[in-house]
Amino acid sequence: MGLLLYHCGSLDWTGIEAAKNNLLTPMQVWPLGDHVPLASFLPQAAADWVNEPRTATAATLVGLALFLGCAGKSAQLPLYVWLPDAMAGPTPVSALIHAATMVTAGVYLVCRMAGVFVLSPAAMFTVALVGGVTAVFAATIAFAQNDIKKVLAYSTVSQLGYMFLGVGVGAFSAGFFHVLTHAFFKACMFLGAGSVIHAMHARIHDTDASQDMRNLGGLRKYMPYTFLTFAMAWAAIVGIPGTSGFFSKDEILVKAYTSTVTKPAGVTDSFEWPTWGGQVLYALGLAGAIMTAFYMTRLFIGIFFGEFKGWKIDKKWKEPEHAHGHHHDMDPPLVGPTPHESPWQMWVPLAVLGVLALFAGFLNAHALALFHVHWAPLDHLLEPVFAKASQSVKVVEGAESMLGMFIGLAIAAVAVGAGGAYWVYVQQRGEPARTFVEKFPGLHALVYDKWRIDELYEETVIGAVDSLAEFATWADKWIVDGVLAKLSAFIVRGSGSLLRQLQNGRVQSYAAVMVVGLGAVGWFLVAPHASAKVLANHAVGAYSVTASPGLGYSYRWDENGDGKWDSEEYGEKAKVAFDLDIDASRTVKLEVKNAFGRVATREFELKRPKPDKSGATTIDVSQGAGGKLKGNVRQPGQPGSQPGQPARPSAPAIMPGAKLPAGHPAVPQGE
Amino acid sequence: MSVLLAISPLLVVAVGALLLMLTEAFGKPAAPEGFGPGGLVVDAGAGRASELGLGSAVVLFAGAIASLAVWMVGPDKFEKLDVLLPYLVVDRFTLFFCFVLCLGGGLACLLAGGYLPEHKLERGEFFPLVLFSTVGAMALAASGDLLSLFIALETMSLGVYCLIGLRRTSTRASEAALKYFLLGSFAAALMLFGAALLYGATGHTDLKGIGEAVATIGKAGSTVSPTLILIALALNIAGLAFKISAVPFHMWTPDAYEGAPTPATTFMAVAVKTAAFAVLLRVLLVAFGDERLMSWGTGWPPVLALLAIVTMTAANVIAGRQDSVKRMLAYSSIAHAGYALVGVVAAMRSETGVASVLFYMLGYTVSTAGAFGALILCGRRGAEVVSYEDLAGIGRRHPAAALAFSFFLLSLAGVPPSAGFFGKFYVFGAAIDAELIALTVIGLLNSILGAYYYLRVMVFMYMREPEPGAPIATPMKSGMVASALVISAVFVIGIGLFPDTVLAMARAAGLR
Amino acid sequence: MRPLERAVVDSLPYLLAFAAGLLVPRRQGKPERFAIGITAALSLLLVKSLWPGGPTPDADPAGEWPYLLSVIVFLPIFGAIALLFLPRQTPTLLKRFTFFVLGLTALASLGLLAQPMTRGWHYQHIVDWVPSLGIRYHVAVDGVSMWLILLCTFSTPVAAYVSFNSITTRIKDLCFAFLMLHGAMLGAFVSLDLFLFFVFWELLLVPMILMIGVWGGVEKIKAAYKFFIFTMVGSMLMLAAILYMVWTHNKLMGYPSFDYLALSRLVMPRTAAWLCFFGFLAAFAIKVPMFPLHTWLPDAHVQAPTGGSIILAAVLLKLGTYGYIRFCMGMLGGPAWAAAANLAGVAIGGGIMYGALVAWKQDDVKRLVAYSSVAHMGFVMLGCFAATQAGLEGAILQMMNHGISTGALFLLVGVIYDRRHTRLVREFGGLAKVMPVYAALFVIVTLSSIGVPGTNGFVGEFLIIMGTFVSATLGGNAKLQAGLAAAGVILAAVYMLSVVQRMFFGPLSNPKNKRLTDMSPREIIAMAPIIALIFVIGWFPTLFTSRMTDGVGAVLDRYQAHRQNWLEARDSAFATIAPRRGGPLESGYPEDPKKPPAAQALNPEAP
Repeated sequence: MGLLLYHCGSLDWTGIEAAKNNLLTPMQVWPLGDHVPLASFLPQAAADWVNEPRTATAATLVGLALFLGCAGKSAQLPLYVWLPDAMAGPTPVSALIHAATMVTAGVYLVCRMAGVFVLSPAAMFTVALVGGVTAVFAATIAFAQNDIKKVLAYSTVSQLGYMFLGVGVGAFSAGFFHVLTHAFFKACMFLGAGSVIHAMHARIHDTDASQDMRNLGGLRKYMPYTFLTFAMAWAAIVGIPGTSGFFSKDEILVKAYTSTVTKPAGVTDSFEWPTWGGQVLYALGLAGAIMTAFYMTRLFIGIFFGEFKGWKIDKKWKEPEHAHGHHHDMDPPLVGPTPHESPWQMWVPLAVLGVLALFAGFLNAHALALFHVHWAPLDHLLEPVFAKASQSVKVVEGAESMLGMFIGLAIAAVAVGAGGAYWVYVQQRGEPARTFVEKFPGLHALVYDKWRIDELYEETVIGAVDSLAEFATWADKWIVDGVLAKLSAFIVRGSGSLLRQLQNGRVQSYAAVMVVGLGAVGWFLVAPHASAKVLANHAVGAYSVTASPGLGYSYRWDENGDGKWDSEEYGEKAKVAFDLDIDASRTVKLEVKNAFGRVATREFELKRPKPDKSGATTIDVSQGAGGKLKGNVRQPGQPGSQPGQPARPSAPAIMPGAKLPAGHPAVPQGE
Repeated sequence: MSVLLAISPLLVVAVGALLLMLTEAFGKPAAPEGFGPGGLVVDAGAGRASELGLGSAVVLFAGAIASLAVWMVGPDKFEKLDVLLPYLVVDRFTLFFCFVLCLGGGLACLLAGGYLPEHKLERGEFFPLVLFSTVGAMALAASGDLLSLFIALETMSLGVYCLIGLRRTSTRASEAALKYFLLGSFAAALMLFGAALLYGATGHTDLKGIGEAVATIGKAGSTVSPTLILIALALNIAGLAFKISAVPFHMWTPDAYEGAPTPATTFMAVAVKTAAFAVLLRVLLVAFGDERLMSWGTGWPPVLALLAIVTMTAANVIAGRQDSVKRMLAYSSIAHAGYALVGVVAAMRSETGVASVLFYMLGYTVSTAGAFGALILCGRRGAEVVSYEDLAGIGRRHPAAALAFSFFLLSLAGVPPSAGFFGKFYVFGAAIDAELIALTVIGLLNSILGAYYYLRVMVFMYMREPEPGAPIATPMKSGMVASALVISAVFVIGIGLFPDTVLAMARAAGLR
Repeated sequence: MRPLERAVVDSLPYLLAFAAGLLVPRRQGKPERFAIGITAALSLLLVKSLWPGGPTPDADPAGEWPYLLSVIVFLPIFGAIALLFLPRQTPTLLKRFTFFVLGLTALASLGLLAQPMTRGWHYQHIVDWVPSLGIRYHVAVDGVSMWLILLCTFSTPVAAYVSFNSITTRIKDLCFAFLMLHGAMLGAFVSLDLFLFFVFWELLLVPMILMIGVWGGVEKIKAAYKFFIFTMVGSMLMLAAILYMVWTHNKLMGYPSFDYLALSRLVMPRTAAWLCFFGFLAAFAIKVPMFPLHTWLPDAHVQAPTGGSIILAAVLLKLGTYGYIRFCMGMLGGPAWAAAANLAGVAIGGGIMYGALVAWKQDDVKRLVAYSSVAHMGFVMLGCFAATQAGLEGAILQMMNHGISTGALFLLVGVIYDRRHTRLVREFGGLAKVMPVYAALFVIVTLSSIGVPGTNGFVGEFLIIMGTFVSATLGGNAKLQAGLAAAGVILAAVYMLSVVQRMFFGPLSNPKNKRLTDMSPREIIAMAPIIALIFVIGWFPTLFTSRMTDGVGAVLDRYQAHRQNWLEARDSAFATIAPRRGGPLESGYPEDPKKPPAAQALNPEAP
């Protein structure tokens, strides 16, 4: 957003649309600052490589940044872990919200920002790729789950992957279409799951157990309506031809193969839409489709076919009072009533959604192009929105002709997936799955735990920050505070107690101390001090050394710095002045003889520096306030009525040595 | 006649002292029971300490007003003043110091008027002693000649010696008096020796003459030997540094201050120190005012700068470790001598140096007198406030006393708006004006150390509760102490808020 | 009238004072009464003689009432003095009086809103105070300080209200401390004379220390010392810098002046400028506080009573940032500009990041909030260093936000502390079940302090990050720093949300918390305006920024001008006075002396 505002100066859609061409300005992304910290420690080549500036269009940065947000919102890799946990919420309705509406906000944002995204093929391709990978990845996880809601959750993630795949390749309307259809069938499935769970609660009160596929099965004959609606949704999601899922998913797949995003003219962006992009994305999508079909079928079968594994059915069973004691223990096998169909309040919406799931596909039935029927009202609806964006989306030629093949493949995928599942779980009674699990328990466990992504985060990111915080806290207590407060306080206190020992109450020692003080004063006055004040005007290169006067002092100088005294005998001359060229230097020597005939010598190194260029770089004042001067003018106030201290004629320079003369005589003066 | 008018401040105080002594000597004892502390027969004047105190306070304030009056008229208006020269110099410098000294002495007397009866120390000679040593102090501030200087110095000191030993029965007081006397005479000997050297070198005893003689050094046909001058300078600095109790000549101070009865301590802290600063300024600037002695590289400024730094730092650091409040105040007065010394050093180059010292001494006088007064007010007979613990919780039980105490402590710590703050501000401003940046920074940082132990008193008064069974200070009731506090408070606030008039006076009183 | 009458009339007040002194005191002997009477008369004489020439406020063309600021500042101070004469046995009366004065001040401060705060200074009032030193009573506001004044007058009553709920001992001292503190803070915000500013700046200390030390927690005395010493160090260095600048000004112009606008024309040689800058920076960085000078803050916050913490967080810390904007950027723009990039690094690394990390690990809620304000103030300082329109406006807005949200947090922590007398997070958990209202308010405030869109925190932080991003002052590092600052927001979410989660949600484990009562109506009343402000600023920030714009613009202009001078000064060894730029920015300058100041360079000796 910051970048957007910076480049477009506006945050509303139209404003961005208007100013989006500003986004093509290249920006230096690396090094972040003027230089890379620590680069100097690297070997030369590495340092060059690190320091070499890299740029990208602002659009890319904006796109990636936005997409990061979207990925977080709608649970794409690698930020998907929160979604299934949220789905674990008790009521199916919350899950429904997660599934159908909220998570699709990300997709919506990408579609909304289409104008920005298409400016940057790189961003688009990233979106598509992430979408595709997510689709497959989540599907794999869905394989291993037993909790029906978890399965649905991961299928949601995977479907969202589809949507991003769609919008990523520039098929915004397709992606959006999938949002729509997905909302229908996924909502239907969730509500169905809800009704199933509701039925299970007749006997199994434990939430997890009641959602566990291993406790379900064969509900077909007990809950017909739920079964029917669920079947419709299933058909839709696996993509049985004619259903909504078929149309939308198929369209995405087609677009994934056929379309590429070309970058706008005059962009110095190194990224090109890869030629293999289409194939890869398509492959991902297809794999996703197969797997979806597989695990959805598995779910479907697991719930409604086979025989009921929940409890032993006893027609006239009543809830015992003490039943709450043993929900979890499965032996002796529970006895319970006939699982009953949900009341009509629950299955009517199911029915509606199911019907929609079946037939909503015809809103945008591109696949019918095969039969030369062009019927896509949704596209026409969305036309104006995506018109601009779609211009830069090129379709590889011959797409039309390949349409048939695509559809065939899609149907094949459905067949393979669903059939495979049927074979595994109905013919073999799930034998291959079990053997598979026994063969690769590790793999299964890994998949079952969502590839341990949460744990990975836990270990890396959070752990690092956590230890950092620990250290910071420790340092704050012991280093910062210790040095600033504790140590200084200790020094003061200690020296106080030390000095206190001198105050021993014995008058002799008092007198002794006085004598010492007198001696010190006398010593200072008797000793000669070759101190002088140096005045330097680097600007014009004028320098002067003035020896400080003293009672009975006489001086001799070595002004030209040749190491010899200008005159052997001491004189009254107390000041030398001379000029220096730029970057020249001179050593002036001063020797002082005081009234006691004692001598002190001192050297002064005078150097005229090069003119200081620091900060010579002018800086645009544009960020300052627009400098219109309005407001009230008033009489200037009274100055000090009696001028306090008139400026004295001989005031020494405030010069780099402004802190001279240091108040401490022990500190030598004047360099 | 005009001469008498010109020196009326001294005369007023001196005559008043004599009168008081007579009344004190011939008056009948008002207290019939004849036994004071230690079973000694109480001499005449007992029981009238408060009256005497009031009287001497009035005398001293009269002296202050007299000096103000002379100031208003202007010392240059009086003709034939030069008959006093060089022994007594009546200029604005003198008058300013006379005012400050009388003020300090008067406050001390008011405190004594409340303190002595409370603590059964009703020894009437206290007040004449105070008055006489005040006279000595004023003469010291006025003296422009080494002879009168020395006489005045001794006049002042002798009185103070006795004041310290006033509590005859307390061995501690006698010890303090003896210490002060021994060391004081040592310092006096140093000064005397220095004076002798100066006379030998220049043939002059008057400061101006000495200054002119020093100026001739290095010129053709000058017979003045610089070596003697330098040694004499060292000796004089040592002697005066003792009086202003600058480290390392300060060792007597804590013992003497602690041993003496608090009003006497007050008097020493304010009057003696102030007078010492007056004479220090005059000697250094008049006698040793030659620019070769005032240069930064050599001469007295660096010496005094070093003294100032050592004084401030050592005093502050030690004061932070004291357990007795009185002793802490003693050290704090040492530290303040250090701050004032910064002003003296600044006087070498800046016109405002002298003025800043004058202003500082005024602010210091009222603040310190107030602080000691509050200390007196906080304790009563048998429960005199000695340690911090005695003050614990007094802010709750006796808010007025605590408020007064913390007020003056804040002024000493230099928290605006108060005379103490402005004095410090002005002194360091002068130091900056003399381009003594490092000295200024050191001084300012020192005032943080100082603030710490002043704050400590407030902490005990307001934030601590006394341990069960610990002696609890209960404030005494005395209108005189109260009025002394009020006077000082008025000065502290008044000068802190509207320093302009006083600033103008101090600047007018500058020696140059 | 005839001289005799005049003499009588003149001496009348002294006679009255004498009579009062003679008659008023009870239980005193004659001499004492007499002495007191004399004293009264003399003191009156003294004050009268010391009083400077009467105030001469100049008529204001814009029709602003020049005394408004003086009223705002001195109402609480005189209120505090008057309070001393009220009996301490009547707490209700004292409380009512305090509220009355505070409310009056708040009303008066609302008068500031009458002006659109255009460029230049408003409600300016200049009176000579110490003419011989060029010290003047010079107060004025602009768009920068006005909001801080309002923040102050708004939060102090809340703090007082809260303290009166919880504190029952030594009400009189408490009221005195509140009023004194209030007046001093306001004075520091309005004074344009450095001496005046310093006076108020120091005056702050005493009541704050009292507040910490008297009604504080277990370690109160240590905390009070720490606070005092830290602040003193800073202010002493600042005093040295002030004196040095004044001295330079005196050298150049021939007369001293402590006037902010006069001193802001100084162009000092670089070393001197650097030294002065560090003098000021020390004072302000300690007050803000910036890493590594922040260690006094947690102690002070933890030990101080709730009201004290609120004032400390809401207003006192702002003095540091305000001082930086006004004095460091306004008078020493050169060094400020040269140091900005590095200081911004400190503000981010040491303030935003480090503060957040340390806060995350605190177990004491109050300590946590204290460190969180280190982080927040890091944001504010970052905005100042960025020195762009957006950044500076964001900084000022964020000052208010921090004052509001952190003040509210302290208030809420105080609420739970009053009930449980502990602030350890692990003592709590699942409070939402027993104290729903409390939990709701706490969550709202937390969100605002994190900076969730819709709350005030978001606006400020967003502006600051924007300003940092485009800042030319920070040079090439600006974007990196903006990014890091943005990352800091995440950390803020981490520690605030974690503490909320640990305190309010999860199982109600601790049996002691079972029977906690929810917030009382009084507490809710205290919270209501804060919550309201959170959303008002969050939704309608322009209400506030619109009045800042011109003031911020003026600050930036001065800043840029200083930078130009700094660049031109290069390695010159002489101080000069910048030519008058003229215009309302300089209204209130002491006029130039007759001789052109540029003529006299500092040192004629140098050829």
